[in-house]
Amino acid sequence: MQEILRKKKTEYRYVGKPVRRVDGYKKVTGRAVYTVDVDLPGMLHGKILRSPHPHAIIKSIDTSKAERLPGVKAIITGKDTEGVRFGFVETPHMPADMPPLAEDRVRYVGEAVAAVAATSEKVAVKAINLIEVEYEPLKAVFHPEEAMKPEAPAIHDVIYPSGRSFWQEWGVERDSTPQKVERNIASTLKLEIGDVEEGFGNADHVKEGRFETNVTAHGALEPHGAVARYSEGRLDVWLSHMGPYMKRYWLARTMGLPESHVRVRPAFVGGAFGGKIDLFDYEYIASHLSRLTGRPVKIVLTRREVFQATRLRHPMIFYIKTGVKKDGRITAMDIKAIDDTGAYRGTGPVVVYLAHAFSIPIYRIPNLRYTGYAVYTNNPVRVAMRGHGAPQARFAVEQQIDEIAEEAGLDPYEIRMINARERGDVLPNGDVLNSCGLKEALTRAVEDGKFLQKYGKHRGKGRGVGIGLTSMFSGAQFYPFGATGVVLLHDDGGATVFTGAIEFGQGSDTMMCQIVAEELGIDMERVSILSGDSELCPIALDNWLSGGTFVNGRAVQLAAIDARNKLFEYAAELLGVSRDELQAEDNVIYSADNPSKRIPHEKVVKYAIHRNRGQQIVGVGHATPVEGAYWYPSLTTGKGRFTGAYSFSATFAEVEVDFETGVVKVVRIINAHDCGYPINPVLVEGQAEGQGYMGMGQVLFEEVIEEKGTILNPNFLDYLMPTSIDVPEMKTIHIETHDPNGPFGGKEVGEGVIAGVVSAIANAIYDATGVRFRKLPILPSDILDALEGRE
Amino acid sequence: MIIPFEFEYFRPSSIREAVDLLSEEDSIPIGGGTDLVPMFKDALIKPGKVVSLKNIPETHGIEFDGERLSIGSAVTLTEIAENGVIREHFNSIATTARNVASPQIRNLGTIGGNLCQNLRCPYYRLGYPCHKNGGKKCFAIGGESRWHSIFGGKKCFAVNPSDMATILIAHGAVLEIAGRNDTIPLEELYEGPGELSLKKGEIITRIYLERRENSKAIFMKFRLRGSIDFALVSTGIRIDFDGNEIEDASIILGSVYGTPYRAINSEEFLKGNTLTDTAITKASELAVEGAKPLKKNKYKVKIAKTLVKRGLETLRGG
Repeated sequence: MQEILRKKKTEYRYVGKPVRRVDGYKKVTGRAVYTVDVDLPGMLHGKILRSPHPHAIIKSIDTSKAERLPGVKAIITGKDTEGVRFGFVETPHMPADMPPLAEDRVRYVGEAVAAVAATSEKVAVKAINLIEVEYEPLKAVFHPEEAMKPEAPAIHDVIYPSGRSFWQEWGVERDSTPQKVERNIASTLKLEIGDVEEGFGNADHVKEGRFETNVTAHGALEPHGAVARYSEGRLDVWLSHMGPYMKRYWLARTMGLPESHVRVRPAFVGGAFGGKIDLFDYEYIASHLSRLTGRPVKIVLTRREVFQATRLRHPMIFYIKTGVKKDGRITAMDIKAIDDTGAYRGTGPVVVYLAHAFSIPIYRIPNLRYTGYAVYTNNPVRVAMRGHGAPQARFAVEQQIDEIAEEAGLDPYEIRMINARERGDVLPNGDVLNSCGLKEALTRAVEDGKFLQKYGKHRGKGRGVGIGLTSMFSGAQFYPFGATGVVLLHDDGGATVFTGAIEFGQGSDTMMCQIVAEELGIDMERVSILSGDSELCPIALDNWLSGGTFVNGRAVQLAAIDARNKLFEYAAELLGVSRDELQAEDNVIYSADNPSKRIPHEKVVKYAIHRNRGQQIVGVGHATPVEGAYWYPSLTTGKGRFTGAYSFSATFAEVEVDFETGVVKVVRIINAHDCGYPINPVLVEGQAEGQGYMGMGQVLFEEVIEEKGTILNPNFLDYLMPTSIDVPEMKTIHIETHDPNGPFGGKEVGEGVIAGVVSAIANAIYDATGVRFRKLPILPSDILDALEGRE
Repeated sequence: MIIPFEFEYFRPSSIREAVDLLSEEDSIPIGGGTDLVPMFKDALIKPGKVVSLKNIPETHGIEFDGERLSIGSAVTLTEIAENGVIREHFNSIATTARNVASPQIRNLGTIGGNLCQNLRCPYYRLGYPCHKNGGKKCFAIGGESRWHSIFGGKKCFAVNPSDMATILIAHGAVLEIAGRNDTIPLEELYEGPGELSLKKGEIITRIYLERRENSKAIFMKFRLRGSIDFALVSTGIRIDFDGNEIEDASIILGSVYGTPYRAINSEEFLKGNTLTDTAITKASELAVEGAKPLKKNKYKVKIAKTLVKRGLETLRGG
């Protein structure tokens, strides 16, 4: 690596500063074009007929009446597809399981059964209402522990691979085998570290408990939608999503096209939060209908469809047993996790792994057993949602840590300080904590919230405090296993950065421009960005992999450094000095030894182009999540390197509980977060606060109410998310640890914090009520019931 | 999202015209449309003719002559919340209006529409084949009943969700209805869950209520989300005092029954009493006397009791 650290932190011009968003103006003036705004000449509108049954055989579909409706251009059902199933997970032993349109059976309410393309949305709605489907309802199961019983109805029998798996496509030549699903278990993860029985034998205190988390929804303001234009063997799509590569891969597979013939175009995204990752039925359907009709097709889901037919957060059940010594050291932990993954596999095997993987960087647990099951039910399908397993696991573990601390006569801060990991720790999977601000974060949050002065002082009297710890990864070895960044220098001294990393609201574009401006020593205004175009941009980790800064940002930083190094070659020649003494700042390159020797960037770029007859300076950089690792960790054993850096956070929460109404009011949330180095502190705070609101909502009132697979509150009036008026005082404390492998020391911030918020509020509610709540959400009715029981 | 059916839209400028249009088959009146339009989109109601009542002079304006307050049915909730006269003389009504929905909805939503709004029961709204949708059962029984009636029901256990109804009934509001000679008490508008006493072609034009001497009133609302949410329980309370003694009391609970629910035992008990701690406790207990909660809404009984208690305590205090 040719990096020369030329500047001290105090000399940064753009990095580490609350720079204004580069996409802000477009957004606040309404000029930003989202997928729902895309309108192409001759465009048709698609609608999808969805299953009203949670589990049924499709006996017949009669589309004849709909076909006769004027304005209807095409109708498709499951028999019209290429027969390729898709899924977030596809391994040699876990084939993709989701048909883009139901074949002969529906497995959840909302599954796509037929679709129409018509000249207007109104005609399309009329047409799907004219399609007659005869169903034979089957027995359904909605609870994962019921679904695991031998007598439960089988939701999948044998799942057959649909051709070559993506393992093979990406270089791992292992044949896929059919999967015989037993007891509706979609996947099992089993691992043991140390000797758990011996660990419990050495414990002075042992605690056991069952915890259960809720189904929540991402609540992105922009509904899911797609515009597809198929022409001359090539497919152009505008999507509301989180990364083009997963989309491109599965569109190519399901449509039977080469990947380079699928172009995912950039579009602004109105929120995602994990809910727009994998391929969706409507994206395939719009593409397929466009190919059939030769016209562009647009499908925008209704809010009810977004809830019922896309994806939701995994609800999980944990059985946890923890043992500690008298002095508070954890001797053993035994965790059984059961995930209700819904009717298709979704991210089930991954969330089961992540609930573990996001936990191991927090406490030193010498003896650990973890058994996790992702279980099929006839509920809607689940996917990643901010934290993906971490809020679920932290809700359980952080509460049990408090319980056992109380039994051992320790306070929650003490027991965490005794067991928390530190920099230099090597995790059981081989990952190394090159930076770790966990203890510092905990201490700062505890001090700032006056936790020790308040804890237990009003126990059971309506006021309480709680803390919770979290960790999160910074990118993992999933396709494309890293990122390439490209920086192009223009002859006016400006630069354009190309990256496959998409801007979906988190501020990626702004951060990339800051990095490039800083490394090149030019004004932010001179940097433009083209991101998230699968054809024009070099590959990057899809942003749902939480490697936006650590991996994608690093690739762009290295590209900028590469461009700068090339630029300096010519500048050295022009100035007659050695390359090594050059610096760049304020759009000027100068000699650090003799600052009177200086030349503007634009002159150097023009000189370089002229001298090389059109060879423009192009900087290229590359970064990978984990050097030396080539694949994602095993989802069945948990073995294998996972990520190159973990971020950490500690949350302090203070609550008031009204014993006569059961209302919990969150008074204050403090998040102390170690993201290595906040490249844009305002964006970092935005991420931390956003997770504060989301975590508070998950504990207090966010709940997708499913009844026999149907969501009873599938809209924003009845599914309650906190608004700006509902949120408490919120504070972010930046803990800087400067990860050696991150750009300017930076790492993840987008999704870890929420787990600390969830667990801190839960612990605070215990402090305020004296009652331990082990099920989310904690509604006023639950609190009133529990207090009544106590009386 | 579109409205998936065709309808004719009318915007009459006189009562007569509106009454004629609404006497026709398949017609429906609309105010701000904040409740109806989403129902149109879900095709839960598919009228052929939609008649706006917002362009009729008689349905507008807030007037107060020192004794009687008169509110046009097309007056928006924002207008009520911000009206100086209402805030001065009937502040509890302004407070109630401010607690309905969100600013955007209050800017559009009318008082007439609020009083006539439809049920929020999810089974009804999602088109389950329940009584209200022409079916044969109430899905809340044995299902998700957290939002439903705690005072029983006949066939349907959905609740009347109007916040405004509770406080206006407590104030003894009466309705002027086009085509009728006499006003009717607002309370008589409600006949059952989602059932109004208005006949085809009848329109509420104005709402009247009298100012009372030595009277205090308060509105209390319990909801999960503080900013924008329907009440799980609400109450409108008005107490007329004679010195410290209670001359008359009106306690109306909202969102607990198919119609606004008058806590009559509590009212009777309070008359002639003073607001001592014991009396307040007793009155709040009597307010929920005879409650028959369903499987998942026992908490609403406790909350109703608490709201009445706190309402009375506040009235005593200030």
